[in-house]
Amino acid sequence: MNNETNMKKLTLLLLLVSLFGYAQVDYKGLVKNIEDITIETDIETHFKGVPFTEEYGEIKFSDERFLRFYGVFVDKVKINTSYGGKRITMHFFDEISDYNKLKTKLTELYGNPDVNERSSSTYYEWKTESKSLMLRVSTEESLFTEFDELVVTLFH
Amino acid sequence: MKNIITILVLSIYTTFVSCDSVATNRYNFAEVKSSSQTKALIAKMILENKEEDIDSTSSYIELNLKGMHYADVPIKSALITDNYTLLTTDTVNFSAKKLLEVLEAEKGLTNLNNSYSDDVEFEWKDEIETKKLEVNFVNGKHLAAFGNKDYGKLTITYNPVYTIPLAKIHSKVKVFDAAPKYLLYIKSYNSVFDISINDVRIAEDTDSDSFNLNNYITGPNSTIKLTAKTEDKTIKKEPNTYYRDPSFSIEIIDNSTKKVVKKIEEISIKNNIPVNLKLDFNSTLPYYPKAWTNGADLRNSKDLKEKVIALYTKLGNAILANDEQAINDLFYQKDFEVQQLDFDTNFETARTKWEAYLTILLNTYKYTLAKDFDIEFNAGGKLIYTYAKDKSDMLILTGKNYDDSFNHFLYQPKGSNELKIIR
Repeated sequence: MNNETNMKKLTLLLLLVSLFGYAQVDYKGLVKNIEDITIETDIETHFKGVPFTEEYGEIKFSDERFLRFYGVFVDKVKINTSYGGKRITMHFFDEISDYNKLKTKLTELYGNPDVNERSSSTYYEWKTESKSLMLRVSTEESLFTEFDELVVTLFH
Repeated sequence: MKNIITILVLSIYTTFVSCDSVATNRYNFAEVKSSSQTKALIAKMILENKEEDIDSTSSYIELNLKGMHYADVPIKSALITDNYTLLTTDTVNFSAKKLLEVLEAEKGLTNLNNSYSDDVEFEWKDEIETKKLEVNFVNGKHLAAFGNKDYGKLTITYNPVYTIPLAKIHSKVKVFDAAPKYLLYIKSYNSVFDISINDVRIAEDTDSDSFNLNNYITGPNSTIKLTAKTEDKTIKKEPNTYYRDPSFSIEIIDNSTKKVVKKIEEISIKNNIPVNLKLDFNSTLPYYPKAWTNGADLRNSKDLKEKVIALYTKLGNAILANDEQAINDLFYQKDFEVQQLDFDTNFETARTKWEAYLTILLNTYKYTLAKDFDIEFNAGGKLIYTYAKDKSDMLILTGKNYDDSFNHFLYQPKGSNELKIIR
């Protein structure tokens, strides 16, 4: 019994020593999932702790350490709120795997997209009552060359 | 329980092992907080590394010593000049990631800037120093996927230390949850305006489209008086040509929330007859300045001209005498109230202004005063503004390849016999 109490004290002591050894930023705690944003979300609260810039009412986040969309690293995200709703424009790291992963994920969630193929780009669009998701890639002879952007529009 | 203790003991052991490596980490740049401390560290390094034959005679010094580090992140090379210190980490062991994390633990998170290359830059600025970190990717993809060879370049510059209150206004500025900034917006076509707020004339014949109102508000109830006139009377209604009457619309907005406080829809100026408007609005500032509220009514003051001349003479003499304290005393109330009304806690605002005053002190060798001027009474006679007639401005400063001028709103606190600068 006595032994166990001493063990508990020792554990607490050791725990405190390790905890206060080095104060660091809680990087994991700052990771924000952009797919969780809804029309009601207060953007500054959602991204609390993450640095941003604001210009002409558009909020921009550019630190990829904290930005994820369905687990994919987001390079930059711009968020515009207007009377019509919220427009979230995301840029990724131009990886074909990111594009494939997101296209698969969005198809799984919202069904097959409307595809609009043009000479040098392809648009994929998923639409529901409350949102639209438009994925745009540059192409050359229908083959992926660049992941341009993904624009999510949330309606009122 | 035993397992937990084993893990903790191991982690503490690791800490001790890394502490041991600190023993060889002799030169910690993270502890340096000024140019003089940098010099002391250089002296220590030279003394302890005589065999390295460090050249300390030139205006910069390059060091590649073992044991240099920034809060335990090894520094491969240091370039130290009179103006800055540049530290470069080695291209091993995720040094860029570690240096970034150490700086973020020390200074907090800040926005990144992408440079023209693939590098990423961070900057932390405070009263004491500016630290700029450039993250160079070698085998890493980006900040969320650092490579072990990515390295960092940290540039440190120390700011001059000012003790004069006028350079440190931010430390006195009170912070409030709600901090409205009232702006008057005018949209107009072929119109000019005379504008006064709370009986303070802030513009005459102006075609500008926005005015900061906070600086002229001293209580919750405000009144704006505006006269709109035709700007170009040669534009006339003629057959077969497009014509529209001069017109304008007005909004008072709170720029902190972008909310419209008051709105006047489009009004036309017919037949060039000026339009007079009076707008009352209520402000909810968390701070109302004393400003000229305790000022004496100067309308019947007999020696007012002499007092104006005395004030600008005092300012001119303070400038010629390089009297920093006198400059502080002349401008503190005005600059404090203006920065507080802008709810601006940035340390750079007053510092930049102070450095501008210092430039004036350094450059000016002569001043000239207007002796003939008109006095305009504002705010029920408590506030005056003067219009020089014999010179281009009230106080003109001259220096080599330089000139400057001053003209301010003045008031006289009750019980005092001297005018003070207030806006």
